[in-house]
Amino acid sequence: MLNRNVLLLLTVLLYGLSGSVVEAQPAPSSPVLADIQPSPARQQELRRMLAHDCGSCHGLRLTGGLGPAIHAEAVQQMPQAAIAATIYHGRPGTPMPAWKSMITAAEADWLAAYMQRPPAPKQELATQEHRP
Amino acid sequence: MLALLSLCVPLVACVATPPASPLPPLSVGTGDLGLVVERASGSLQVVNTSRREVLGAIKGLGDLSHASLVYSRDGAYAFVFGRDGALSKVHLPSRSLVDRIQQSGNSIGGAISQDGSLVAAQNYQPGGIRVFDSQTLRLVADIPAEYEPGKLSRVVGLVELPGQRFMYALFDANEIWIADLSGVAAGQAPQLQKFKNVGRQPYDALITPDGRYYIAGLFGEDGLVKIDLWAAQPKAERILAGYGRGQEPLPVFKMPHLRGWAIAGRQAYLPAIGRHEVLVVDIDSWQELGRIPVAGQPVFVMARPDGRQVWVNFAVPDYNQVQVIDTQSRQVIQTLSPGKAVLHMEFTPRGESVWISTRDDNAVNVLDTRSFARQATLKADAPSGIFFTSRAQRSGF
Repeated sequence: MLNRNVLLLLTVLLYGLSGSVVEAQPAPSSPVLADIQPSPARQQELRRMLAHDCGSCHGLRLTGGLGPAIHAEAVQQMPQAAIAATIYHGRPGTPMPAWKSMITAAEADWLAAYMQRPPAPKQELATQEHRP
Repeated sequence: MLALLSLCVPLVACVATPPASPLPPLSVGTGDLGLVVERASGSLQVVNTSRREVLGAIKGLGDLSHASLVYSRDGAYAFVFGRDGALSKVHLPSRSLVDRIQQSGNSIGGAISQDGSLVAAQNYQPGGIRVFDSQTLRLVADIPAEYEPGKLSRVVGLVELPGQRFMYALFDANEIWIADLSGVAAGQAPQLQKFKNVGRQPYDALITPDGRYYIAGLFGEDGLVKIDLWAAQPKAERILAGYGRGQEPLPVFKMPHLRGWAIAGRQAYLPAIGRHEVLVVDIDSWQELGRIPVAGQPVFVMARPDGRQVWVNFAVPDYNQVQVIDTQSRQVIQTLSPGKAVLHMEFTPRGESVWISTRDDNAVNVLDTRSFARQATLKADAPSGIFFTSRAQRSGF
């Protein structure tokens, strides 16, 4: 439990730091809903996966394509558990695959919470994937 | 006398500023130019394929995830279809954005007519195609993919057909349409021909280089559909039906792209959806010749221009590899690891080199297609599609 709180604190600090430099996206609005916080490095991988791999069907800015729009505004009204289940198990009969071979259920929960964070200004979305 | 004097002055001025070269200046050729899409930063890098150099960027093109482009016949201009529904016209020699319109909400690609006068964009939102004058980007025709009253389908697999026509598939409607725009210059409306019940969820398509066969991949079932456009009565016919033979399909983390160079000689090399296989089909008999096990879900299956080799890249998580198939033995002869997150490949016009974008390495790698040796590594910001001007001379794009 302590470990989780430390991780959460670290995450918040990390977001705070990066925010002061490049105005990176804010932390998930409700990170405590996810049971286990992925490590900061893994969180970065998951955000990257969201932009690029989910983005290959939903658009780099998640504004939709073959798949529907899944930016924060679009998924705001959806139950977080439903988003997580869709990521983890896919949607049979549609092109949405199950991602469970690449992420854990806890990571799907975290990603669902992250997807529902308050929308960031557009310019950030365009530059959020720049690496050091 | 005055006239003579005034003539002399410019002449003297000319002599006084000697040209750098004794030859008159030549305009720049475009045959060895190309564009690399930088998907995250909304820019294009202009490249030279002879010198294997990046010449410079064209910026301000918006959301370029899944962006594709087509060339004007002279190879000097490209029409770029952005995910955000923008259609941009860029000029390669001056590396400038010359025009840009917001043509839809969400676009996925396009094609240019046989004579180069019309540019068609295929749209997801609103579903349909829109056709523009390639000179002015003025809207010439708006053709919604309305398959039931008020219902528009997402459009995929748009190709150019001879005779100012475009052919495309309706993902949501299980239909394939041909729009004939040969009369629009004379003020006539586009003519539509529709093929219905072609198969479930066509996701992309290709046209053979001779413009004869249109082949669409089906996401919703095992198999593909082909239409012979040279037949007296073209009709949709299933090919390779049931290639999965009841096996549980593997998850498809990225849709395969059929458009490209999948035809090698008399054989078509096609990605099997939900399988780690490339399907080989004879395009005379349309019988399956075999299937080649590969390293992951194939995304692009592209024949070298001579058809001797077929290069394959893969969806996540196998996208750090590229495999090369020898079309004579139909075996994988080489497995390469060119870098992280291979998104696209493009052959030089005669195929001595292949350019491979590796998104997570922020690089484009140039490989020798005979020795597989690396010839150059160029920097690009999260590169995806690579498009050389030699596409301007190919039918279908």
